[in-house]
Amino acid sequence: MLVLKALSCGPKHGYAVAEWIQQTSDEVLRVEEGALYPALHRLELRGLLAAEWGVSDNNRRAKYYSLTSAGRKHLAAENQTWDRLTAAIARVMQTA
Amino acid sequence: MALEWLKAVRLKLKALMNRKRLDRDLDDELAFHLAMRESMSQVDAKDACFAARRQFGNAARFKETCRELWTFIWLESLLQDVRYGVRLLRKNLGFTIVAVLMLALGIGANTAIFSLTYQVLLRHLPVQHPEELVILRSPGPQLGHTSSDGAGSASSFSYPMYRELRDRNSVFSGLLARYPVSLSVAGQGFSERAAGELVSGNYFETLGVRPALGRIFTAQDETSPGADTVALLSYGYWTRRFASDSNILNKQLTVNGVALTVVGVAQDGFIGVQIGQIPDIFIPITMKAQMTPGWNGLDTPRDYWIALLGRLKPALARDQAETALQATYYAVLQDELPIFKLRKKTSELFLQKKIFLDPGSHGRPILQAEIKQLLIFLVAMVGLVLMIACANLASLLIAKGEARQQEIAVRLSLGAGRGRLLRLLLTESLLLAMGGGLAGTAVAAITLRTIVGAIPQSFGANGLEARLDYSVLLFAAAVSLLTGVLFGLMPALRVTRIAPEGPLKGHGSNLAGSVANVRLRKWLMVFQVAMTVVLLAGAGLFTTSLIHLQREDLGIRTGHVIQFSIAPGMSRYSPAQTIALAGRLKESLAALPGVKSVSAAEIPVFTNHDVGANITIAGYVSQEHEDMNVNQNWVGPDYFSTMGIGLLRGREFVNADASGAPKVAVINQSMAKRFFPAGDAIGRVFTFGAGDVHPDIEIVGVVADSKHTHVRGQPQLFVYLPFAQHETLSEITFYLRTGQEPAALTPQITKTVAGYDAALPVYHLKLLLQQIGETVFSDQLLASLSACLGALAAFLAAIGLYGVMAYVVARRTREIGIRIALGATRGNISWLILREVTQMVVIGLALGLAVSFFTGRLIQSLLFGVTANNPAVLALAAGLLLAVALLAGGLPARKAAAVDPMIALRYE
Repeated sequence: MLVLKALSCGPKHGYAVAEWIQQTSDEVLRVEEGALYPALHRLELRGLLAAEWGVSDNNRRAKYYSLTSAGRKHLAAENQTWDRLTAAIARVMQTA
Repeated sequence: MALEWLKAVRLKLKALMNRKRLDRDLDDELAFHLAMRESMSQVDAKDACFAARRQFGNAARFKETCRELWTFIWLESLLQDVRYGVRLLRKNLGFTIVAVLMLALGIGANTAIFSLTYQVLLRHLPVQHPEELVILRSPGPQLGHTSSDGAGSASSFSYPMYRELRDRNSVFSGLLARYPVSLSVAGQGFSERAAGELVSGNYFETLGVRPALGRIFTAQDETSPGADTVALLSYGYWTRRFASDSNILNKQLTVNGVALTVVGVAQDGFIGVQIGQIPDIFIPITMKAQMTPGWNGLDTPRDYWIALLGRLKPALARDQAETALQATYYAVLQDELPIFKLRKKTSELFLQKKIFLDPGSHGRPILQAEIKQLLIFLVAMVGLVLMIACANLASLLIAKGEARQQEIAVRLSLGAGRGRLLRLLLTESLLLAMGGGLAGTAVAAITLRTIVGAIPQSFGANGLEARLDYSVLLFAAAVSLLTGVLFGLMPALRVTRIAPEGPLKGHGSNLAGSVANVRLRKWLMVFQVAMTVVLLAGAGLFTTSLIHLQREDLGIRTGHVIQFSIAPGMSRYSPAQTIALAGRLKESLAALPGVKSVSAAEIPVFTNHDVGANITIAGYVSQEHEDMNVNQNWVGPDYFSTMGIGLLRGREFVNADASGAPKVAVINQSMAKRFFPAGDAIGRVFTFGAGDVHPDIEIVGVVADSKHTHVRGQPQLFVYLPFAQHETLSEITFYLRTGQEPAALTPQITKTVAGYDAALPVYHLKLLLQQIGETVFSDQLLASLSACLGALAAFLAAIGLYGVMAYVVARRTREIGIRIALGATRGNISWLILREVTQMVVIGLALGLAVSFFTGRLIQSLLFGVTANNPAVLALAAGLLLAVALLAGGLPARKAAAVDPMIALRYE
């Protein structure tokens, strides 16, 4: 979901996705960066992402991922579920 | 979901096509990441590199995960296994060939028998929605004449009844009628016998059969008796006789003396409504009187002869239809009742008759009923052989597995999963099984062609084909797969169960495992011996039975006799003309070189035809309810001397016993004993029928008993009459006794008949011995197949025993060496080994004989002149197997005895 969100504002390569997640979460979400790649590939196989080889800012060959329409729909759905879930948890926590 | 999955598969396939690129891309992608991380870092290059890698985690692992995502991992490892298996099997070529051969014979035999079973018992009629078809049956009193086949007279209906049921019922979308007839067909330049089927106009429409050419019959082809002079050819007959020539349409054929116009050819693949009885020509049922001279049967409800099949209306269940039909049937019966003028009690019974609807998807189950038992036994026998082959292979694989323990142990200790290893080993056995299956298909094709080619036409199983269609091939594949798992699983499970340390430490430490292996192999051997003895016992019984059948005294001298039939009545000869023709033919045939004597009879012997009638004898007072029925045949002069039936008293028929002369008869000994125990048969008079009749047939001779319809069974009471005094003679069969090889007469016979009438087909032209042989065809089939399978099983058992014992000897070489060193003689050592063989075989024999004892009861009805528990046969089977076993075990025993103690002690 985070990966999908990361790609929602345009195509990125794997490194950029990792950076984006780290930065926007203020370095709270830190994982082994390598684990990102199986996730990316899995999403690609599920048709939520499309991949394309391109040239990076520093002129290296890089694989760019972008959201497909299916990916967009999936992200929206995930978003909703997430909102409902956090809201529910928040309500439960408030009662205490 | 499925769409998504498909998409993924497409992507994966693309990746599979381009493996190298996938790998390179992955490398590039990860390398790019690391490079970016490094370049972003502020510290010096070396530290940056480490830091980047630390942050990234285990690159190799992620790469592997990604690769698995992209590839069909199971497919790849399967391919690996297959490659490995093939390599291994090629390395052990000898083993592979033996194994594939064993499996090929086993699977081939099974496939061939399955093909027969499928064609006879399992296949639906090749018509539209066969599951909607039902066969009508109505048990109960039938008042008049019935004509029936294996289905029993309850399945015969009258033509008026058919029309009423067809027009008044509300449950069938179509109700058809059919009756099989023999035809004499004459066309341009040929005359022959053909199988005919008299059918109702809606026959093809009801079955959903389309024309391949021209048109099918309609209701307009069933108008009034004798008016519908049309014919439809079956596809097979059209191809065979007319070379698929479409010019046959609207041409005329002379069928039983009537000119019929060919209006069409039925759809390819349509074989009628009774498996084994394939019609050549279809003719409207309204032509009945013309097709069966001397018997109309269309006009009266007293003649029960037609078989009825209905197609249920869609979505109507059989029992619902049955219930709904009773009211219609009852109404028709009530309408018929006045015709019969019955007493009250009989008419009650008559009106109580119910109508039943039997499933008809397989057609009329005549052949099925006749040979179901035979087929089941064949299936059982070939199944046993395959099990024996499996046991054998399992045993061999266990031995092979042991030799591979080192390899397996290395694999296990290097971390191979047991499941993965199992799969590897199973792949190997499945490869073997597949090889066996492929070779088995060839074996099946040959076996099938041999069996089908041997089926005589009189067996009633026409149209069976030696073909391996997809359902049969599917069966072969399934059987191969099953056998692969069956013989491969147990050895594979055993081999992979070992603890890896054992074999790696060197030999000898895994003794417990191999002792267990030996025990298992011995039990497999015992099982094999048991199954083999069951098969051998069966083979022995069937062969003994066949020998008894062949040696059975028929009361006829069967050698050097050739026979043929003609049916002048089917070519518009009157009985008087037929008699005259028979007389002239007899003279011409007798003049042929080498012919010693010639005679003829109306009913041919050993063709399952018999005719019987009640008699009344002057001066014989019959008991109440005494069975006065005797069999009869109309025969010509010299019949008894030609057939070699001994004349006991009086005379045989002569030319003077002609039409108009005093009526005479010859009876057989059984009949003489039964009715004239005082020995005063000659000169007595009798007649056919009962009640107020006038006996006027004089008995002029008594002949010895002979068998008439079948080799089995006892001679019946028999009365012979001169065919010159037959008022409705239509068919006649000639018998020629010759001094030379009778088959050489074949061309002269056809020429002689054609000299009188070229349009008269000659049929049943064959040796009498051949004719008799055909009546015991199923016995022959069982005997020869069971003998082949028994021999095969014994051979497999020998291979198996040899394998096990050779292995045992190799295992015990050191022990044997010690024994010899301690003074054991060669004899002692041989006995040591042979004792084990004997042990196994004796246990196996005991089990096998026990099984035979029980299965014997099941086959008793198929046997002739021998009981299923015949001790001589069982002893012979057991003795044979014991001899084979000692032979197979003897080789390793000799090898053991020849062990040099010095070498043996240094061994290992």
